[in-house]
Amino acid sequence: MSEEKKERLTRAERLAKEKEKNLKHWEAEDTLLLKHREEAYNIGGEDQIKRLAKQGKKPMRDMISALIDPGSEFFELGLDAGYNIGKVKLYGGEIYESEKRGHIPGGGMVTGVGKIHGKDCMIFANENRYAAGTYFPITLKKHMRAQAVAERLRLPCVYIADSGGINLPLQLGCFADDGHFGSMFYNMCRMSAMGIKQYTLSTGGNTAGGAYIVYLASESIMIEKLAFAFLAGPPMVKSAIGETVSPEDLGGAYVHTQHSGGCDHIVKSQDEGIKKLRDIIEFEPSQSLYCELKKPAEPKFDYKEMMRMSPANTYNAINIKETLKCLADDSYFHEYKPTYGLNRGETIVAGKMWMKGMPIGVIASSGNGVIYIEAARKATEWMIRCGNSNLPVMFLQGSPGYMVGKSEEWGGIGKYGSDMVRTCSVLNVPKIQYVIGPDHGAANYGMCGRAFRPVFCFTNMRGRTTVMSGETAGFIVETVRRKNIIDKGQQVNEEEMAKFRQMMRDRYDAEGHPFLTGALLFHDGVIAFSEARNKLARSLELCYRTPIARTDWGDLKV
Amino acid sequence: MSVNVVAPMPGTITEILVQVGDQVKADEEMIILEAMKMENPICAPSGGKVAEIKVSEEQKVDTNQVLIVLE
Repeated sequence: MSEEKKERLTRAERLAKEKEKNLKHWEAEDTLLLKHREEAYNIGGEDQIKRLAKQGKKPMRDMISALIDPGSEFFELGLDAGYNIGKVKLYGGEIYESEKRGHIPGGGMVTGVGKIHGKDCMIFANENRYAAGTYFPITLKKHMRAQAVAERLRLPCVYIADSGGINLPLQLGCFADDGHFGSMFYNMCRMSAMGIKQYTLSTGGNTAGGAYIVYLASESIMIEKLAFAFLAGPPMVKSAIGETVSPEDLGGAYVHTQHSGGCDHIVKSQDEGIKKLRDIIEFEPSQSLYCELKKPAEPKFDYKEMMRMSPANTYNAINIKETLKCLADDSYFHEYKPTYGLNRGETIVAGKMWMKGMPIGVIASSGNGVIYIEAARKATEWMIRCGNSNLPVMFLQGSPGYMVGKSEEWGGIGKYGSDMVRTCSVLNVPKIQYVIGPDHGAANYGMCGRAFRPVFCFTNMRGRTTVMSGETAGFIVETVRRKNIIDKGQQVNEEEMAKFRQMMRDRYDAEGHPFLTGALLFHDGVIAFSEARNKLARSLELCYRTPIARTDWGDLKV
Repeated sequence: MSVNVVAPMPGTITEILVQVGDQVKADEEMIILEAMKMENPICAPSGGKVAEIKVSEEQKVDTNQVLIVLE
């Protein structure tokens, strides 16, 4: 046996040997993750904190801490947005870079759910430590995403506004389209009409369209001498009609609370503003939990066991039941069709469990995660059962794709896969996706990727999301190139081909990484192993804030 | 009695961990088969001696193709 060869072990021995290695690996990865977050927490550093302090302002994260109930945790969404966005090979990437805004940790705003007087509210706060809180395309995407979650779960919305409005050099990606600036207001109006309250505390500039975030609120608050709202600021007024006026006299708190009536409450400081917000939200009706709650129980295994049992290599098989036992109350998992299809069925584990007393259905990739006909059929059946039982579903996605090849195609993998995709699409119960491994091809669809509107969509550091592996993509493009070169009667340059293969591999590896997919908000956040149970259970609790709707299944083939 | 160890799915043999004449335990990894981007270990279904290795590294194989004969 040559030196570089793998040591020959039984699977049990391999696992025993690799457990501690896996643990160390994931501890290092999660440390990296926590460090990654720091940049968004401390954007601008001490300088920006001092700058705000001079204006009598605190950083938004401090405001949010004061707003939510003492001791409660802010359930942040989209923290990974905007990192190195100028480097992505996607619409707009270079535009950010050319405006020297290529790195926006946090994406220009803070969004997440917090408890205020015990009521879950969606909180939005402009990151006024970066580019004056202006909106970039990624900021808007983050804002829209949080509004969509609020609307779906009927959570009152609280906007802590301090924004220069659209970042002007990037207006093309911010102004006119669906999902751009106007959609913020459209969503506010529609949510308000649905009975989902919208509250705004203006703690800075709200210019032009930005002023509507004050006027459109169910109730709004402005801070004396700190908050301004006007359709056009003093310089534009000067140029348009020659009028000279101070910001305070044009659209200060007193103007809108005494004269225009555009705002409802005036306060003297940020602290007073936060107190007022809390007072207002105290009147909100208390929220129900639309499920039968069982007595919660801790799992028998902690998150470190989950780390040990998750192979360091994303492309090595995982036994997902080892993960489930670390997530489920009392480590109890009720499995559906555990013996069906033998090893062709076991690449998807289906079943249900309780998390902190709340029931949840589970569809989870296991082993090598490749979805065969039997696995797809089992998943479809189980989604239908969850839908019919009003049971939210969590997808633990670690599948590299549906099985390919003649025998599988003849057997109907396309048909059964499409049934799974259809069921996942129409499934009307709340869905949560947590990517824990390879996430490629149509498996991203059947396992409820972003396009299939999971209420929440997370990944851990093991997740890799791309259409296929870099290896395969390189192979396909290389084959096409080779054919073209040969057809033209030219010679293939093997050295260039090898370089090209490596480039594709590197590119796909980089593009599938959780930090990059998070920078573009393909998910709501990277969750550390140590946070997984708490954050998933919190997601589930939020999902149970609205009555579960029934599902119409559509034209299944079965 | 000999046992044929077959490929559970089509793919590429990336590593052969055994040699002819080796004794293997049940469930011991013998071959790494890469398929669908995943590294799949092919393990001995029972203990025995490797009588024949019918494939080589880098070789592409089909489902049910015999990889190793154990006796």
